[in-house]
Amino acid sequence: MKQVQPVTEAEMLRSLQSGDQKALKLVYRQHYQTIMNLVLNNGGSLQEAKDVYQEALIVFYEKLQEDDFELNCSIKTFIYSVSRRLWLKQLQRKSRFTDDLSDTDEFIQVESEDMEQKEDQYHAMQVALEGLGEPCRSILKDFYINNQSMDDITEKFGYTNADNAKNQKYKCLKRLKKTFFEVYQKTGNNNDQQERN
Amino acid sequence: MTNRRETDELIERYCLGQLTPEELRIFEQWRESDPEMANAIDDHRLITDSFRVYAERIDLKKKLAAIHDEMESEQFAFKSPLKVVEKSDSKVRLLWKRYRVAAVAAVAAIIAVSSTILYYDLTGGGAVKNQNAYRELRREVESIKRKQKALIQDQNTSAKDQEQEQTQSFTGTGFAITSDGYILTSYHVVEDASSIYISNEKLGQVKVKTVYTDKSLDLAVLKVDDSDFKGFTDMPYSFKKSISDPGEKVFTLGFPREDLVYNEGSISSYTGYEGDTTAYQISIPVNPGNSGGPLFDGQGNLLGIISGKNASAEGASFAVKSKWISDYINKQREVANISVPSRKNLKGADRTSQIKKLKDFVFMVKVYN
Repeated sequence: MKQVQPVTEAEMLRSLQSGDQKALKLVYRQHYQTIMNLVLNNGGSLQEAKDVYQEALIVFYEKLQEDDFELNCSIKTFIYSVSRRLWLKQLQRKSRFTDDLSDTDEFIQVESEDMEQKEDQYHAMQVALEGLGEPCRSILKDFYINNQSMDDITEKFGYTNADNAKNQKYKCLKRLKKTFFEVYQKTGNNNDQQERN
Repeated sequence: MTNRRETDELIERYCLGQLTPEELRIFEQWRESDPEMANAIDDHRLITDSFRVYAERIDLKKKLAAIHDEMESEQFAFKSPLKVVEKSDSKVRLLWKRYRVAAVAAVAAIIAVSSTILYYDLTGGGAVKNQNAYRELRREVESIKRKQKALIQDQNTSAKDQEQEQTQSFTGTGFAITSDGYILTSYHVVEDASSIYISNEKLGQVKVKTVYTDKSLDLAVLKVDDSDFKGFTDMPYSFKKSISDPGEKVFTLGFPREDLVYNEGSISSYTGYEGDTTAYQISIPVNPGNSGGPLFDGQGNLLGIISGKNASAEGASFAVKSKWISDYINKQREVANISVPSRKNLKGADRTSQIKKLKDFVFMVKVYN
């Protein structure tokens, strides 16, 4: 099909940082096989391989967006290391074996909490949003994610004035915060325990 | 209550940098003197940051899933070796039950081409030809992915999961009708498709989407759905407006297997299956996968599109007439701005050089349900 020009790692990182779709696609295709082998060789299914791989790519991608992130190894090694860490963790959770993996590639040590803070944030937010009913969920999403103004929201949800809408938003956010922090603190504690083990 | 709300709104405006200098001065004093306040600010920042993380992840997950689907569909289309179905498939049994009379010829045909084809799709008959002997010629592809899955399937994965993971796929043929990427194929090839790709040697593989379909004429217009697509250049054929007569030599190019296959014959009749005036009967041997292929005359004019064959008679294939195709396309023209080529570059050229030119405009159509 289309010939993709070979790019250096540095170029690739820059493209990814700028949100280039093609770069993401290229990276995805380059390393999928490696991670698939890793997971399949260590007791996982194809579906699990896919999940671990995508999760690792999310970690990688999110790291790249951080200002102070520096990659001191190849993209491949980083993705492999994160995938490896994620899969090891899953195996431990399943308590199949807690030892080591049979590796197919070199890897670096990845700090677990480093990787998981965003995961915890995502997870807590997901649970909290799911727990909210409508119109709360839509109001909060519109305001905090879609960056709509309170005036837009007042009109969209048919409130008689902006103050009513603000009051509703306030109540919704209060409920969301409650669930969010419950979940967030719980997962945080769990991680601590696992680290100590 | 109102107090708390006002406090929260103040925090929010502070985090967004919306406080006036005067408000800011008072607010910061407050923050320094009240640790509760500092905590509330941190909490609020975590919440708004988590909203962002959440939204970005949802977006990224969608992108990754799409990339994966595309990659997987390509892989499994390219790798799939064409295997004859060995298991006693229900569809094959159905064929025996329902078409015992026609079966002798049909089975002869199956045996003749069994090294490449699978089985006829009897249940998915999209066109109006519901008579027993009419066979649409899309090819069903056994996916290697399915087999791979079966091999590495974990014991803890239930049979149900396995069932859901199975993807059906079909292939047919299609050809370019405009230089800007409109493709014509048979409706029954792309029926119920969730994604469609076209491929050939020159183009590689690109994604297409369905633009128009007509079930009764068994036609589907597809369009290349790829931002990198630059268009086709020098399309060498045009639609023949008049009706051709029996005895005229014709040929087709198609994908009954992974590679392009040429076949020739003549127009045998003005009408198609059971007197269908929208189609010709032609004496070209066609196989599953040939559906949607172009039918050319000796000058490289487009005479029709291969649609099916009579399974109970040898050497009776059918093609929808170009007149009906161009009428149909003209009807869509206003909406889709389809302009068919009008060049005749192939007149007088010998067959091999005609094919060399034509092959770039004929594609394998891969359909995933």
